[in-house]
Amino acid sequence: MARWGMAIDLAKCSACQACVVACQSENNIPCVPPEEARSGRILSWISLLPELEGEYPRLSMRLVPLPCLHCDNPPCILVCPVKATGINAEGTVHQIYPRCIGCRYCTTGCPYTRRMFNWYKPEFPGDLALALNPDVSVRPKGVVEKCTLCHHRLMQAREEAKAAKRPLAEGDYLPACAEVCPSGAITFGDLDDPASAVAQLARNPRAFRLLEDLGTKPKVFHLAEGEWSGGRGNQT
Amino acid sequence: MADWSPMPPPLAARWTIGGGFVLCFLVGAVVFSAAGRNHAASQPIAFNHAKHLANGMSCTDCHTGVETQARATLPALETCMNCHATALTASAEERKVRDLAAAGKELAWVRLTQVPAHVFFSHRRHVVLAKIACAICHGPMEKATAPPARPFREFTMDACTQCHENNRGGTECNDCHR
Ligand code: HEC
Ligand code: HEC
Ligand code: HEC
Ligand code: HEC
Ligand code: HEC
Repeated sequence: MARWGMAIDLAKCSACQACVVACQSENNIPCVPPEEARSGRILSWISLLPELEGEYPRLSMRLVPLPCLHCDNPPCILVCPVKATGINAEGTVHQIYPRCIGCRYCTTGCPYTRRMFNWYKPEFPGDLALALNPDVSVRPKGVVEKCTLCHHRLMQAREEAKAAKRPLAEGDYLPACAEVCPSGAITFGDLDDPASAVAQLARNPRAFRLLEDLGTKPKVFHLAEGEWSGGRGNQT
Repeated sequence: MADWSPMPPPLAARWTIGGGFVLCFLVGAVVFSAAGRNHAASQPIAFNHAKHLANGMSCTDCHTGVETQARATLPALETCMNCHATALTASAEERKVRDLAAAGKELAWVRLTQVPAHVFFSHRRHVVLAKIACAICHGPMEKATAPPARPFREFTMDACTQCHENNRGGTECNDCHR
């Protein structure tokens, strides 16, 4: 059984945000008015986390693409009072929208802020409504949503592979962000397959996991040069 | 005097009020259950499955997606016009096909069997990969002489998961929910 994970090489990432846009359209993520977005009500399953590095005058900013990290030990699941969220055998953390009561414990429980609440009836102004992806449901107002690792693409890829009577090959299943990344910074695959590109990157000495000391065991790895201490560089 | 009084109404009045409630409930129950039954779908054309299948057609001629994608799909007018551009019978229902085409309209079939938008169901997965006959989920459509009024069976979550537990379909929440 696969264990799906991702490696994001920050040396290759140019912070172009193609992944953010691809995710937004792939997963029918609604638009939020600008003033609401500023108050933190924006929905964005993958977004760029700004990280300041160094000290003035040698200051620089790194933008770290941050999807749900699909922790092996996810705190969000522990706090859900109705079991609307869970982790499946392949390690993907899901949210079952009709089950969600909108209490937002999980948005608070997630140390990476990768869960978003639908404060409004989803709106897709203008032509956006015509571009909705039929493979993904539109979430109603009042539920929490999150990155699914484009699970619908896995279902599709599995079905396709089985119809062609072959096993699922590496690269058959890619989330939209990994597929679209123009600089190849996002590698996706099976962490339990030692030969896969993502498993090799995860073992790379440059690889680290965000807030690893919390014990969340993320399956999304970031890669950066040694002096960067994994998202805490500006605090020490 | 129609003033409100803290005293209970006399017994007869209580019976009338109580009876009124019961009556309302009974009338409501009858009306709503009848409405429920009348909810039966009315299709634009009284399509006859039995006749067409007896003429050697197969399910995929009209439900073109059933072996290749998630949606089975219902046929467009164009499909019908392949055969019905000229009259084959004296049926008034058949004439409707040509009338619609002449008016440049599409067929607005009503879908009966449906799962909510948050559920993922794929026909190819079940028909081609799991080799489940249409009749298990839809009943004997090849015998249908008129459009069915309601779905052959309701797909509650139990209906899906029961078969999955017995036949090694998926039982993870996000296998079916999207
Ligand atoms: C000539 C075209 C044609 C063929 C061939 C055909 N169908 Fe249909 N089918 C239709 C049309 C039109 C409807 C919608 C009207 C109705 O319900 O009768 C329909 C409706 C249905 C429905 C109801 C869908 C719902 O919403 O629940 C089922 C089930 C179905 N067909 C199954 C079959 C099966 C099984 C076969 C093969 C044995 C088949 N059909 C062959 C045209 C066709
Ligand atoms: C492959 C050719 C073919 C296609 C495609 C086809 N039909 Fe027919 N249809 C026939 C034939 C042949 C008959 C005559 C059947 C008989 O009388 O035995 C018929 C008969 C009918 C009748 C008269 C039935 C009756 O009760 O007497 C209707 C109505 C009809 N078709 C509707 C449709 C509709 C609607 C479609 C599109 C979904 C369609 N047909 C597609 C071949 C076709
Ligand atoms: C395992 C159960 C199952 C089997 C087997 C099955 N169906 Fe369905 N069918 C469904 C469900 C569930 C829906 C509702 C799908 C939805 O809402 O997306 C449906 C919907 C339909 C519809 C409505 C139109 C549409 O696109 O949704 C048609 C037509 C249909 N099926 C035809 C068929 C035919 C023909 C076969 C056999 C080749 C078949 N089905 C086999 C469960 C089944
Ligand atoms: C009559 C039995 C039966 C019914 C009813 C049924 N399924 Fe299935 N389903 C199966 C089987 C068998 C498989 C495994 C198919 C295979 O071999 O790939 C399956 C597979 C699936 C898969 C793919 C699972 C995976 O791990 O990739 C999905 C999704 C699914 N079914 C959804 C549904 C939904 C939703 C319903 C109810 C609307 C439903 N099924 C009803 C028998 C059934
Ligand atoms: C085999 C497919 C399948 C699996 C597995 C499955 N569901 Fe469902 N679920 C469905 C279908 C189909 C419906 C829609 C039922 C209906 O319309 O009545 C549904 C509906 C629901 C609803 C809404 C009920 C309502 O009244 O609206 C909730 C909540 C739900 N599922 C939660 C879950 C959870 C939690 C899991 C995992 C433990 C799960 N489901 C696994 C098929 C599935």
